[in-house]
Amino acid sequence: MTVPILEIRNLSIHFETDYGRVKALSGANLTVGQEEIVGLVGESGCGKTTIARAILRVIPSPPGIIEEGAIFYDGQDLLKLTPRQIEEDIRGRAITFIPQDPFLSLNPVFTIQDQIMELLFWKSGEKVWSGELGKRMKGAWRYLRPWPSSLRRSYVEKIVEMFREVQIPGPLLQISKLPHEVSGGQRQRVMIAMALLTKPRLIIADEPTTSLDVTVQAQVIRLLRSLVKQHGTSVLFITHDLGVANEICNRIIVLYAGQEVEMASKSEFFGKPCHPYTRKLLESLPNVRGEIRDIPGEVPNLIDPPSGCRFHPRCENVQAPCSQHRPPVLEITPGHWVRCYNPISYSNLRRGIHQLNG
Amino acid sequence: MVDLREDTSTNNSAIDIALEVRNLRKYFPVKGGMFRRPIGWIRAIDNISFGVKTGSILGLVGESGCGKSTLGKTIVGVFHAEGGEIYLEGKRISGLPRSKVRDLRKRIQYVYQDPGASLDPWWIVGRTLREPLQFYTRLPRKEIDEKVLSMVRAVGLKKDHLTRYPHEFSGGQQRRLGLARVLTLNPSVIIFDEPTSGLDVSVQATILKLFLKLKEEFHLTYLFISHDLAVVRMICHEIAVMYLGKIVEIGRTGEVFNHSMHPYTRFLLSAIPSLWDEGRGGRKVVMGGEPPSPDDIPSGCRFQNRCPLAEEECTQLEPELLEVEDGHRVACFHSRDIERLDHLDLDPSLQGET
Repeated sequence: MTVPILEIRNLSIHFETDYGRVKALSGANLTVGQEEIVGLVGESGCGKTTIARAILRVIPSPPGIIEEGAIFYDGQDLLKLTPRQIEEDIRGRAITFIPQDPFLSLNPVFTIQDQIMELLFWKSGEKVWSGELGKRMKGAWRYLRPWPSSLRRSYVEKIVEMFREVQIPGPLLQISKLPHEVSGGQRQRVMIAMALLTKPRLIIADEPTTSLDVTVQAQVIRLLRSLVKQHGTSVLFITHDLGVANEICNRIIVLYAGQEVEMASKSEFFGKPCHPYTRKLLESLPNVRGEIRDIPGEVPNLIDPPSGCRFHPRCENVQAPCSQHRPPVLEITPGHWVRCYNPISYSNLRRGIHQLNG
Repeated sequence: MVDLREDTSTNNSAIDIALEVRNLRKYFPVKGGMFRRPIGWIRAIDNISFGVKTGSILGLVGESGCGKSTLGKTIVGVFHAEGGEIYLEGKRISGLPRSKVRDLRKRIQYVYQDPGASLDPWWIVGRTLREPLQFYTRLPRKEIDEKVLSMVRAVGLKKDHLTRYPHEFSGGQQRRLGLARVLTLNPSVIIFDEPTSGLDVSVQATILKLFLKLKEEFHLTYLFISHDLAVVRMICHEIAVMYLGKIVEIGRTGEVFNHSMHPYTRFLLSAIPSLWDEGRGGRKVVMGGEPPSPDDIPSGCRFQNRCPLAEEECTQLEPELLEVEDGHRVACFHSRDIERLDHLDLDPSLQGET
């Protein structure tokens, strides 16, 4: 296997709140390979977004504290870089972000063009931070002065080209609109265009399709998949919708209460889920047969998480060591990892999940 | 061809249709000019007729902005309908003076989309749950408290939850509270607006189980508004598909999912992200474009500008909702040769890999 573009090792992050210390992540591991789309799935509150924020180094501190761990991007530990290095080289350049709600991440009082030009100015081409032009464009001056016309022309050209690529009809007309004037699907396309403009090597997409209708969602997923392939970008795709994960990802990682429980390729994952939690999660999806199965119990409170395996209070296959020690990672088949003492084995269990839902 | 109106008027005496809507219309004015006069109309609901059988669940699906929620709110009387009639258990509840419908309206209840926002953040939950009973009945306080407590237990919460504030509850629990509040009035029909949106799959399964349990326990009829087709497929007996203020297809769940006759339904179904490709019916295609704005509805069939089967006829005449099979109604001129959709040469960018 080639060197992964992103590797997170044993990452622990907690937040100090009035109610106590919330252990959002406790020793999470994950890898994203070159040109791979990895799905990060889990229920709300399991730490998906915290991972995304940690990679981009935007964990608010206080209250967030990164206790231990390392985030290797291209062999370089992002947690050891200075904020300035992150700002200049990583965030928005090498690693970009597609947010869940595009309306909240676009400024409502500036046109789409203005906002993307600003992104291009700071994050593409040479580093302008300390240059003369950079100083001129800092602070409130930015909004009082017009862009230098040569810069403006080349930026508009780039934006229009990218808008054509993300299939926004009439790009020249669309770029001068305000965010509320375009539809939700188009706004999400604008965000995808922004994420691709600086030619990143890794895109972190945080539930980019949850605010869209199924029909538009299908369009956006298709678009993202083809663009990523074309540009050779890796994607960490965060979602809670396993159906969406199945449509777009090559590999899937499941998080539960701040720890990864299973990592596998898509076909392995949906065909032979080995962790009891994963299997329960797949069974709780709406299925053709019309029987509803839920997972008994509730998602644990992260201020006082269960000892040992975090899933043991809700697990059917619970054994003696489950409540005392954190289970080891087992490799079931090459590339299929599961963190469990007693994973479901498919040699003596003839019914796969496919038959269950067929 | 069977006209819906004839079809159901005979059933009116025997109350096996809990909720019936006939030719319901709701238009919103678009105001403009110096005096804010109406300069146009948004036809949010245009001539909709359907019935829900007692004890069954009708799912109402469609893209956002197609009028699903407006229809639900017009039925419970939040919006005043421009025309048409609404019958609840055979009794007309539309177009009557306020004093007369009050007792009838009690029997039909609406569960709002965002339960967190529909509970008063300043009130403890117990007070919120007592309010409908204080408004509609003259029961003594003790009986009200008993009734509230029994409903809270029915939805799986405890007595000490009553003294908490809404923000102390999780999303799933807030939905339970929303349900408990409407159940106190002993309704016969409940309209759910996106009851599972924003919930995790495991919590969603628990909540759906609760819905089905309560339906049996209290002999309820549900109108289930949702854009989640997988959920609708799992629990609804019948499905109505809406597009821009009109029902384009209505029928039994199995019929609509396996033998859908309207091109829009086909597209909608193939857009569901799915883990299991079998049972989807037809090949997977992605529909281009977005629904047009409801203040600028295309002439003829509303779907014509996105429909690959559209012909001359579709741009001029509006197809009626006609019965093609027993209980399966479709509004499309091409419903008979819908299979052509599978053999059409679509734009390659719209085709799926499967």
